[in-house]
Amino acid sequence: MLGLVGAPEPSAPRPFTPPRATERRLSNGLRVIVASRHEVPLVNAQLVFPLGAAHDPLALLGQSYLAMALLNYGPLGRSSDQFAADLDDLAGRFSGGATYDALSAGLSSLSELFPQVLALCNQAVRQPGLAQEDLDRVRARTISELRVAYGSANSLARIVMARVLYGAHPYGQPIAGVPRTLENLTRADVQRLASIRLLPDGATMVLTGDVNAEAGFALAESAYGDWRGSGCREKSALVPVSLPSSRVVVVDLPDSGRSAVWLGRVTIERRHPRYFEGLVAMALLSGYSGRLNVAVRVKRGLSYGASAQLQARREPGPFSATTLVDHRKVGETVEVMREVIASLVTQPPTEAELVPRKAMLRGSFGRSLDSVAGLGSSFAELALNDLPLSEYDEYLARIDAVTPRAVADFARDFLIEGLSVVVVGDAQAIVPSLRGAFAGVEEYRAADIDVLTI
Amino acid sequence: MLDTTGAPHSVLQLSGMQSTTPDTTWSDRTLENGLRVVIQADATSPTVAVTVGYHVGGKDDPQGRSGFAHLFEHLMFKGTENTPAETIDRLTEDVGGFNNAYTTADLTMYYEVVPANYLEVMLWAEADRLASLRVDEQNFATEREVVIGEYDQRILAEPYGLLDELVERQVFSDHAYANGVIGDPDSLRAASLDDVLAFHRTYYRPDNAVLVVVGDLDVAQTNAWVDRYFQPIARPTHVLPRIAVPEYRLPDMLRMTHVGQNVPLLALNYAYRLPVFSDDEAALVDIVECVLGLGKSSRIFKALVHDAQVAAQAFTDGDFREHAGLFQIRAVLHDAAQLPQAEALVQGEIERICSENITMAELRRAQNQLASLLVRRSEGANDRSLAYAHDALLRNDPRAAQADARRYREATVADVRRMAERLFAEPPAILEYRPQNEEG
Repeated sequence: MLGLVGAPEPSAPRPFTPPRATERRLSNGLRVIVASRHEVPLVNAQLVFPLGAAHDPLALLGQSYLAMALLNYGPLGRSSDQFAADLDDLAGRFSGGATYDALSAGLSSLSELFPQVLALCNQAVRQPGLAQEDLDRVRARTISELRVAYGSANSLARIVMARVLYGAHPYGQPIAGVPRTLENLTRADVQRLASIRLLPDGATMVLTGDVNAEAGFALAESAYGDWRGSGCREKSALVPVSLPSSRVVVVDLPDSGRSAVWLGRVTIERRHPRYFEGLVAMALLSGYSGRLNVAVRVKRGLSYGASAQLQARREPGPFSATTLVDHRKVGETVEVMREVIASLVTQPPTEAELVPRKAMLRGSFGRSLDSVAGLGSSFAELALNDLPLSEYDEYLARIDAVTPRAVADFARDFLIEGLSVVVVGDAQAIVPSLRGAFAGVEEYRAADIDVLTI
Repeated sequence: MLDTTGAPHSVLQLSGMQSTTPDTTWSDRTLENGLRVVIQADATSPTVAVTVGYHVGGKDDPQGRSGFAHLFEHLMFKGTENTPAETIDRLTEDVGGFNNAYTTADLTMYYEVVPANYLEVMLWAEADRLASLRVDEQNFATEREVVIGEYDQRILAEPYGLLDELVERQVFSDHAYANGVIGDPDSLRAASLDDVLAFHRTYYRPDNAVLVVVGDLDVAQTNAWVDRYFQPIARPTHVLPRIAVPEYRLPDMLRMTHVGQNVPLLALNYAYRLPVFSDDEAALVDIVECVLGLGKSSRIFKALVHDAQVAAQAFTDGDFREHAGLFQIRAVLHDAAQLPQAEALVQGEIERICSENITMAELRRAQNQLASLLVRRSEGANDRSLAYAHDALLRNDPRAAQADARRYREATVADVRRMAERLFAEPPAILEYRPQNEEG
């Protein structure tokens, strides 16, 4: 395959069938999906609720994040100390989380102990304690984490880029909020969120690992079968994403060793028929042999690595190409990265170039089967985006069907025009290197940045 | 297998560890040239994981060349007599796999995951770069800059990036562990191509390595391929240099303050230097680590983060190395002014675990947590392959972890207390990693 002297040829591919999922809906509307595999004695469960942090009101940013972090403190009527001790006794893992599109609770344990872990954790989901003292703890910790994030060039660039790309659309708001909204959130706010968004109807439970389908359905029924949703359920659509004009934003973080360089724009949603073209385009740009890394690291030694991502979301998600470089090399790096992205159209891929990039996607799909959590996440993503579970079986075929022409067209339609640039690092060194290439460079200081006014 | 019909079993009766090695097809042998070869068949996913571990790490850096072993790790991707640079990347990524490598104080590990039908090609490539590395001035100079970039990125750009390096300098001043693994840009710039060639000749030899293959494979076929590609590599006749194991001694600097750029909150670190422990002793250290710092109900987390709320994070870490160990307690404080209170709490917990037995409930919890960790760490073929290689090189038994499960089960609360007394008998090396701008 490489014409290497003495290298053996690969043997024929070994046959493999990925695990199948079966599903059932409980009478309360909760959808239950089970995919079994028994090699390792672990069970993973993911419970996902379809309205995420994108539905937090502007004044209450961080509401979902705090509420879901609070699930970890256990149910009403049991102290958080006791809950933590009980969970640690069973060596179970349980955590709540929030993305823009969903609220989720995940748990896992040795399969022998899973029924006990589930019995313990389901109460934390159905009737979370949400105690004032725990809220204060989580709030203080979150504000500390935000300060750490604002001190890291890459984390701050991520937060700023979201705002630059989405403006006032909810995807532009930081999921974890900002210090002033976190300060203002009350216990009543998180209680209200739990009562209107953590409801069985419309939610999905994905069970994977060392559990059979029937046993899984029985466990789901015993944990959640008698759970009834109450109260008013928010069912609001997000405002449509509108494309803001492209911007160039520099945030001064003078002490960071390297500058974080992010290029990005809004692309398509997960359900979009051209999503798989986007995946192949990302594969062309990413990885060690991807076009970005070859240009930035291998050819020019500008950085330790560069890659591109397309976030799969319910609404059009962001595309971003990122790297970390010497502050003085930012101008050159931005130029190189823009050229590489544009090259998807000016030098469209050949069939031969696509072969290894598609293999990369196939390989990561195969490896996701290596963990029961990875298997669960695949089905949870499909459920959240209202996609049929059969798409899982079609994944490899959908990747294979993408043509070079389709990748170039995708880049032309969704990646190249209107790219915004966010750089976080030593502005004194960065700005002169950018001035030549861009007219309106906006400058902010990390020390006193207010993300919501960017 | 999950049984929902009867009462749940106590995890103490879990045979557990048999299930972490899902397929019993296993081979462990040593070739005539000294290469140890470990193979395990497991068809969970349609891939194979290949690890080649070399018994050389940061502590073996040549004099004045700290960071060299890690720099060398990068050069192992630069081509051989038979292949151009980046061949390993093409052979893995381009077929849907991945590869990487890392260097620790004691070891250098190279690993790949590829679709199962590419196993033979991978074995050929690993044998090739063991036998015939080729590096020239140009790719040496380029890669050296990449490594310096990695230093900037991991050590300078990250908040607390220097913390581990500082602790090593503080605790191991009499030993090469003090120089860390990543080194420093000046030492790296001093390295020459001659250093590279000498290093490869000295340490990259079959009798200083282990090859591990885990995945969807046929053991006999895999062994035949291993014989074909690795057997012809000769065992060198020169002596393999080993640096001396240091005597145990107290750190020189029992208290150190570092002002970090780009650090938002004060981090407090307690480091205890450990002697080289037996496996039985190390298992007890694991239990102490669990009781003090693993999970939300652990003592240090509960005292600092949950109850007193002086810390945003707090955890413990036991790090067993070939020549010495390191036991650390680390907390990131909300407010630097609360440092005295945080220290008093840490010291209080250390005194308590030395003066009173832990409860039976705490012991049982630690046993469950450690049993669960062993299973979780062996879930993926690559993680398992790396663990086998590590344990083959440093514990002379790729499946040493199986016996750990038994050690955890057999420990008593009195054993744990005796170990805590030993662990914490000498004063810790304390490091304050302070923010430059200390308003909070």
